[in-house]
Amino acid sequence: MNLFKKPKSQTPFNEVQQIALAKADAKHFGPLYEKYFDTIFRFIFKRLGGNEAESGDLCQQTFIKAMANIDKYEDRGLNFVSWLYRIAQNEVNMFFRKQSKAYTVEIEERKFTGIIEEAGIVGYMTQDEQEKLMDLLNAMEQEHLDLIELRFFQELSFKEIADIYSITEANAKMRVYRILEKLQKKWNEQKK
Amino acid sequence: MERTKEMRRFTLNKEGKNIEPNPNQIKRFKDFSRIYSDYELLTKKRTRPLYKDPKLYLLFVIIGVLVLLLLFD
Repeated sequence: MNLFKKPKSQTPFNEVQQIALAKADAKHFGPLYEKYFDTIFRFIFKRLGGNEAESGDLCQQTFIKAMANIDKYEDRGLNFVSWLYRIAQNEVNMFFRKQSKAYTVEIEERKFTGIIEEAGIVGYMTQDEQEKLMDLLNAMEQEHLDLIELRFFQELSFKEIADIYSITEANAKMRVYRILEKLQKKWNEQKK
Repeated sequence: MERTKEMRRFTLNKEGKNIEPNPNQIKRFKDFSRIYSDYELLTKKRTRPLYKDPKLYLLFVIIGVLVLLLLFD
């Protein structure tokens, strides 16, 4: 036994207990903030295509709203982080709606390739074709784009998407694949 | 179905730029004390009693006198 080894003094983080404490007094929200800030900031940052200042503001608003509404949070199979994602998702959508013109979000080529593969669009794509497919994607309903974004750009699992929308995992999967089918259909029609 | 207003447009990032925040960017915005004080400002109710705020007290007295004058006029 190593006598010089410091004993572990850290107690394991008990999320349920911490949420109960934060419900009683907002000052106890700190550990939850420390735990989830990075995840939520990253989520918003990617949704805004790397806009640092706006991401900081929206992240702050998300956590203030979470603190103000923590009484409404009930752990009925919904993870706390999914509840935070839901608030952040609404904040970002509100931000998009407030813009006078459509907000441009840059996405990585690797992630776009993921959509192409999942949609079953085979074969080599020229840059021009990629742009045409991107136009088709942009022409889709905003609600559909939200789902595509969560799955392929944010790389969330179907369980996480299901939690955000309060639907089942199977339903989330079905919705995403229906959108991809629609995209594939439009692509094939355009190619004819 | 009516098509919803276009909120954002995706463009392909051709330069291969990584759209992930770096640790410094995260650190810059991570400050619980700041959001806690903002939260307090937004939610905290007025704790100072009315009689301890002379300006507000005087304002209510003036409003009261004006109302009485108008009623008995």
